[in-house]
Amino acid sequence: MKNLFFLGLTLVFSFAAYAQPVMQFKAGNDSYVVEKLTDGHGIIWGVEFINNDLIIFTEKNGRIQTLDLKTGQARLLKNLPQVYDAGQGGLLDVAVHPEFAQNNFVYVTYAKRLSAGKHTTAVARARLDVNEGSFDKWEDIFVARPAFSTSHHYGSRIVFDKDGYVYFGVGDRGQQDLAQNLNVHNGKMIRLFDDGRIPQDNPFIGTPEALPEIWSYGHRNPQGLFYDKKTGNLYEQEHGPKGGDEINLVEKGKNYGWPVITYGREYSGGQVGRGETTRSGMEQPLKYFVPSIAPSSLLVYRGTKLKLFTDKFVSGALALQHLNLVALKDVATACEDRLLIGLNERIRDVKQGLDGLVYVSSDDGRIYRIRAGSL
Amino acid sequence: MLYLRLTVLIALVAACSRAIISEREPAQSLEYRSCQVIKEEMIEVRTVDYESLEKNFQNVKDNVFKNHCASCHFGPDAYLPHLDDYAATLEYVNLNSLSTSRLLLSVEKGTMPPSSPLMSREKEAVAFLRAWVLEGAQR
Repeated sequence: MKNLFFLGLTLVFSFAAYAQPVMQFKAGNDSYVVEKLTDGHGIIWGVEFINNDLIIFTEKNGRIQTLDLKTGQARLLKNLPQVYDAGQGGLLDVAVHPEFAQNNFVYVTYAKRLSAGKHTTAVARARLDVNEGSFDKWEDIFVARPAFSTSHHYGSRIVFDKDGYVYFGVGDRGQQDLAQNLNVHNGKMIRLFDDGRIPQDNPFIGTPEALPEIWSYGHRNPQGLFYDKKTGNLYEQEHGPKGGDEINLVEKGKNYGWPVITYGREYSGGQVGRGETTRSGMEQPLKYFVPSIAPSSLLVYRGTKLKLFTDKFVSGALALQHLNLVALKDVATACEDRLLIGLNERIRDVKQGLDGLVYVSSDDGRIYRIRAGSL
Repeated sequence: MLYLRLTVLIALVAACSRAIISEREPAQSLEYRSCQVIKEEMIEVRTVDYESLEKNFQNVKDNVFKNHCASCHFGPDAYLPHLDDYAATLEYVNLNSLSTSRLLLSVEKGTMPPSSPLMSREKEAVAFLRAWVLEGAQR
């Protein structure tokens, strides 16, 4: 009986008082509550978990903060990287090293100014002293080349696989044809050791003039990336032009077709290239979206706490302002669920928390949490 | 015999072609089709009853700053002004000239908070802040 009493207390207080319910929704017989955890920030580009109680998040404007999930208190961190914040560039994704408890490494992708008027996608890491709330020295482990004066299509999300390799995407920077060119980083998925060294089993090692960091190519602007620990699959989601956003299963050395094949069209309405959608030697997407939803993040939800989400791709949509759900099974023909429409916010990042719930950030500077239940 | 061999060869080529084509079958057209009816309902968030609050720093801090400014301006490492501290906040308040009070200016001109200005979503909070300053910014 005593145990039951304490169990009851735990359940009552398991959701912090600062979390403010802003929406509830019902799918079939299941109810869900959306809670606002923090507010008043810049565009929250990346969200990651340091431990059960602590989130780290990046703002496009260059700031990095932690959010204490027990108190709701956000804390601005010190000694931040220098980023180029303009257009689609700025401070982008954040990832925590799989062995953070031992080495304290935090990774970010960002837009880096290289020479006057030219910028590129870079990946840097630094050690974070959580108690001090401060990073030590930032070190670039990768700088994409060449740099351009355009301020769009930087990518970029970062993930680690089970062996500790780090993967991230670099956008085509608006130079479409470069996505098919193996001697530049634009429009590529990159694979490195965690310190920036190049694995010798990367697919283009030994290919004349090809850059050895490349893992796959033919990508446009990848802004969703997820390593599925359950299957070992690497999934990527990218912005198409007008239509043609894609979810891809990314495999070693493969060509994902941009701009030769695409289900999108130019913004002017004309066809891209010859208007092809299939070609030998180029991969088909698992799913494409017409019209575009403008996907900014990707998660495969493997938890059980939110039944509606289980074994589904979950992605944030910027242009169509919702959280998108598509089942992995029969993904090409699967129906979609569109959630959080009522928030009217551009959904930027989505993560499965260590508690099994779903956490979502928005361009309005907010972080939300979705839990099962009702008010 | 030659005719039979040719027929078998043609059939084999045709079967292989079908297999290759089917491997490259494009993903189906994906116009939006919902899986189920999902009913969303926004929850009305209880707002503060500012009229019943005494105009002092503690109430400004607990109801305005804490809800809208704390993520950047609370704590020792926060950006200036440190709005969780009375003396530090007063440095941004000019009691003799409201028009040059930086605290009020940044809020009333819609520059704070940067991503979602308070003026555009909770004018009552801004009015309460102004009233607190007008009445002498009491502790």
